[in-house]
This record gives sequence, C-alpha cells and structure tokens, in this order.
Amino acid sequence: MRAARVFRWIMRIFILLLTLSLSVVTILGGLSAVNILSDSNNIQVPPSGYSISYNVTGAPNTWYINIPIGINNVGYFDLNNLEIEFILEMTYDGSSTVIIYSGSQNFGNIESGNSGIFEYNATSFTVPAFSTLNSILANITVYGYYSLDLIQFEIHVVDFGIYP
Amino acid sequence: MILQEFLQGLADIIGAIIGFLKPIVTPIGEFMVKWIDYVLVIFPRENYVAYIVICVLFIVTGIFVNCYWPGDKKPKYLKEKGIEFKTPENEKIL
Amino acid sequence: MGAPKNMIKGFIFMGIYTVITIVVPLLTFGYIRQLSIEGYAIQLTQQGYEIISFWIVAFGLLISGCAFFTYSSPKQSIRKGVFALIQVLINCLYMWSYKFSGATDIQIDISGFGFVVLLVQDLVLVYMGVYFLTIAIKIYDLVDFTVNRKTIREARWEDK
Repeated sequence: MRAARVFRWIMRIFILLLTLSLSVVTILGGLSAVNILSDSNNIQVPPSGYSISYNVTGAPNTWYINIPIGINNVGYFDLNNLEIEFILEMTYDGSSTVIIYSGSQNFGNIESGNSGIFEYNATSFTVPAFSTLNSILANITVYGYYSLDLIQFEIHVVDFGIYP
Repeated sequence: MILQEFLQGLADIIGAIIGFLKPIVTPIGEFMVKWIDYVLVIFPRENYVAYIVICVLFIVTGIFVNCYWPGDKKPKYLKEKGIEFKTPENEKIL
Repeated sequence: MGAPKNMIKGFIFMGIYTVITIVVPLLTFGYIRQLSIEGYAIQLTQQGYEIISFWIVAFGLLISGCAFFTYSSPKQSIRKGVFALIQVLINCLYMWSYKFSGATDIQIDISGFGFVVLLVQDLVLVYMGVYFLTIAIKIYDLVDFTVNRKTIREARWEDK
C-alpha cells in the first residue's frame, strides 16, 4: 500500500472514532434522560416533594419566596451550569398586572450519580400600592447543559400559582 | 448493574475523548457554519425543479462517462498512441 | 470493474443515500409530529415541518445524484475524488439545514405546566467540525489521485 493511503486510513480511523463518540454521546444522553425522567423522585420541585415557603401578605418590604428544588442526576453525564430564572407577576385590584420580581440564580453543576438540593430565594420585590391582592403567578425557567455540554435544555414552568 | 457500569465506563471514556477534542473541533465547526450560511443564499427555496434537474444531470453524466471511460482498461486513444505509464519507479511504489 | 458493474454500484449507493438522507428523515419528522412523550406533545409546527421537509428532499436529491457519480467512478480516479468532495460539501449544507430549519430546537409541550426545550446546536457544531476533517481528507485524496494518476491507472489496468 502506498504511504499516502496509510496516512489516509489513519485519518479516517480518527474521524470514525470522533463520529462514533458523538453517536454514543447522543444515545447515552437519551438513555440518561429516560433514567432521570422515568422516576418522579429524581426531580422534585414544589408541590410534590418540597413546600414553598413564602410571605406575600405582610408589608411589601417583608416579602420573600423560597423554593427548594431537588435533582438526582442518575444519568451518565454531569448536569452543568444549572441556572434558574424566576419572574413573578402580580394581579391586583381586579385586573391590574405588574411584574414584581425578576431574577436568576446559578446553582453550578451536579455530577453524574450525585444529587443536589437548591433553594431559590426571591427577595427585593417591587410592589405597587394595592388594596386587593388577586393572584401571584410565577414563570420559572431552568437552564442547564447536558451530554458533555453538547445539549442545552430549558424547562419553562408557565404561570405557576404562588398565591392564593 | 453490569450494563450500567459498562455504560458509565463508556460515557467516561467518550467524555474524555470529546472533552479533549471539543475545544479544537467546535471553532472549526463555527468556521464551517459561516461559509455555509453564505453559500446557502444561492440555493432556491421555492421549488424542487433545480434540485431534480441537477440530480438527473449527475446520473445521466455518470452513465455517459462510465460508458466511455469505465476505468478498467486503457482507453483506445492511449493504446493507439502507444502511451505507456508503466515505469520502474511505478513498479517500486506499487 | 466494467461500466455495467460501476453503474450497478452507483445505483446501489444512490439508493442507500436516498433512504438515509430523504426517506428516513422524512418518516422520522412525520412520526415526531404525532409523537407524544408520556402524553406530552412534541411541538413541530406545520410551517416548521414544511421547511424541514423541503431542505431534506432538496439536499437529499443532490446528495443521492452525487453519490451515484461518486460510487460509479473507478477506484481512486480523479472524477471520484472531485465528486466525493462535492458530496461532502453538500452533506455539510444538508446537516446545517436541520439547524436553520429549527429542527435542532426540540420543544416538548406539557399542558398545564409549561414546556421543555432541547437545543442541540453545540452538538451540530462538533459534527460540522468533524465534517471539516472529512473535507480535508477528500481534498487530500483529490491531490493524491491527481499527483499519482499514472501509478494509480497503471495499477488498475494491471489488475485486469
């Protein structure tokens, strides 16, 4: 075999190795998702596993919301750069609506096989003057990276009832 | 359990390979995406006609070229001219 | 290999590429449109489906036609090198068409709760990097086939 062909074969094997690696990552990523999502105990957000503690009825400067989130990473890869974005929308005096809180918090990584409980603390609300508080709804978005940071995911919880 | 351990081991190995190569391969991928975005502008987005024509053209040309130059024997015009490629150097390489 | 055998090989590979690049992706996306995971629907709009389908068929046709020319060409011939290179380049466009069609942003709607989005753009970027290496190999092949043309032809004719 000519030397040129030998070099070509080496390169081809290298490319094959890379392609196979990517395919395995994709398959294991899918399997991990099945492992994590098939058991509801692996991801516990209120109200199933934990309870939200909040105070949104007293004086506005005393308002706070605490949401504990538990994640058990039973997948094959680390869950990286977990970030939670939290937006609170308040309806008051009949139909007036205003965003009273918007913020995000980064919870870092959860290694494969480990679990973590995070607590999102929302304070510093901007509350308008009102006479009747109708409802407070939360829009929660969880951002993170999986499968060696090759897959990004976003979990959007829309209009989650905080109050009443 | 054994399967789980095997898959975890496999994930670790693949993780090491991809982790090492990703910083090299991803910027190359970004470069690829840049030129592809430029090239894609010229492709028609309305109908399949151009694509069908090119596909058929490839096939017809392929058939035509193969009929005349199948590549397994010396073309007639080379035979007639008596052109010979075989050299001692080529022998060595082969 | 004579002309008929070359062409049979070309048609076989053209068929394989048609299945891989057109039939399987179309069936997959058609299936995904009706798919639900644990009762939650995966969102793929009619417009999104039509855009993806268009590019799959368009580039699939080009890839399949190119595959015929490539695989019906004699081993290590310059024309095989040229068309193999063109085929890889079209493959890159085909891959990226998934991205700009929105097929790499997978959205799963969970009624009464919200939705989950999976973004696989980084994965596609790594794949594109691998494709660059494949392009490099094809260019290398083309140069090799051109430089060593005489040797390669002689060897091919010697086999007969």
